[in-house]
Amino acid sequence: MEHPVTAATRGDGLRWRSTERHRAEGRHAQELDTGFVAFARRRGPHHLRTAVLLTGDWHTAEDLMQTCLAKLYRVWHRLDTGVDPDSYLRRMLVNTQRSWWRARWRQEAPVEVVPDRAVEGDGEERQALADTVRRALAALPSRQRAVLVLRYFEDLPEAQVADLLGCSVGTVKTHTSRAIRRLRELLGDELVPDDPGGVNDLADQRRDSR
Amino acid sequence: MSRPDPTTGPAADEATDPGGRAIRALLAAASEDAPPPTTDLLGKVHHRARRRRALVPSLAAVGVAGVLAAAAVATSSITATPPASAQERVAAAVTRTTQDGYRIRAAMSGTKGGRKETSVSQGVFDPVGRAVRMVVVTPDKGHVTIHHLDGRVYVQLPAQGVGRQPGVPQGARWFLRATRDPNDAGISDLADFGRRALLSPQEALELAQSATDVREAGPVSGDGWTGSRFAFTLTDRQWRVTGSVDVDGDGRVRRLEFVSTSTDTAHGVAGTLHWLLTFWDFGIRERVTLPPDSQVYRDPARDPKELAERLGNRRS
Repeated sequence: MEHPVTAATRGDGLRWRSTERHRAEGRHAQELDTGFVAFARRRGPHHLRTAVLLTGDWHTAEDLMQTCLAKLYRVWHRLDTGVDPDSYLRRMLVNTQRSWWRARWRQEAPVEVVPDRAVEGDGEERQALADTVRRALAALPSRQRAVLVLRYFEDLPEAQVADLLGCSVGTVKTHTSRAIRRLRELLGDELVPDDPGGVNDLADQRRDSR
Repeated sequence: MSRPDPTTGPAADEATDPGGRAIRALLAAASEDAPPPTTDLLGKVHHRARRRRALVPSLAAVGVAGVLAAAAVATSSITATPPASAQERVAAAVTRTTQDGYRIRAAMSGTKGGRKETSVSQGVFDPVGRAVRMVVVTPDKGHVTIHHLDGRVYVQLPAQGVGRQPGVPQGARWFLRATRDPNDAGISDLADFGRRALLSPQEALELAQSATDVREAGPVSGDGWTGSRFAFTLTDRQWRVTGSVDVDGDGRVRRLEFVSTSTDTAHGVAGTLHWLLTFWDFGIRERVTLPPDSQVYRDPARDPKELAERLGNRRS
């Protein structure tokens, strides 16, 4: 029978470790991995879409997701059971994107050229719309863009957005209003309407109510 | 280019945000065209986590440039990154300032709606409780207000009126109102923001942070600190706010000064007000506790100023 203490590599100075303990650690790590992978596979696509709205292009969005998933993986085993990993990852995405924007590294890093995809008919129009809207979003100040994405893509209430961004609810309202107004300037009334069935532009509604 | 189908995005809460459908549809459309992934995200995650090295954003990009960027980080010799803009520095300073507690003094003077206005308040910001507690020094000496960042404003009722005002419960010591005053329906967006900024120093900081017309105005110094001054401007149809933010060497806001000018005669707020806010004692740990519910009177129809005047709160 083999001795339970087995050297990982005999004679090279590495630590001796118990085979059974090594196996238990491996099983635990595997469970953590499985949970993390399941979460990433299930929710990754949604958060990748959030990332592309925050960053403006798919490659930067992938970079952002890789970075944040790696951070999340490192703390996964320490997450309290009451912590919602979605909220945790969302906060990471917003904060990391903002720190990149401040450091402006994203503008310095070379971007891989994406091969053109052949799209036809409606697909071409959808692609054009997506590109146009992303460019308009990228033209917004970082906080306005984040507020818009969190309010209208993530569907978070204003109080939660305020908490995530570390500002007041009033500021969230103001950023929302200004962002919508700016999008209307960039995209036009047809895409960002100014009517009761369209966008809630607070300033314009107040003017019309006087 | 045609508008996307608003029904393809998440369902809008018509009761609270009836106008967001178009924005939701646009954001959904802008994120649906995912190309085939160029990398296996999870494979990279496991690789990075196992090697336990610091992540650098540019490492995730194309190889050589990413490695060079990582080397620059390791040696702290970044020269390729351009300096932050004035707007970015002000935004960063406000964020830095509001991460810790601070003391504040706010002095206001001017005219509004044909009336002269003046006040001096002092207070403290509690970042844990997310609330500012301000005490009026002049003219309503001792009058206390507490502003929570979620929009609640607690106004202390004058002592001589407690228990004597018809309709106000016996044990009420505080009046709760929302930051957004129903009487302000119809005012411009900046006017609303400006009014909230006048009530809460935290909102005043965020007002400055929201400015996009920002330029550096030169060096500045104060008692025990030196730094830079940044001038900013915010305008809309009815209001114009011009001011300056003094940022010290630690990247914190030391002084915020602005003049807000309104032409909104329809709501009786036309006039010019000058504000000077000074910040100090950064990192102070003073809790701002909200009043207990048993002492709070909630009546959105009541204007706290009207209530205070009725109770004879005009102290000399």
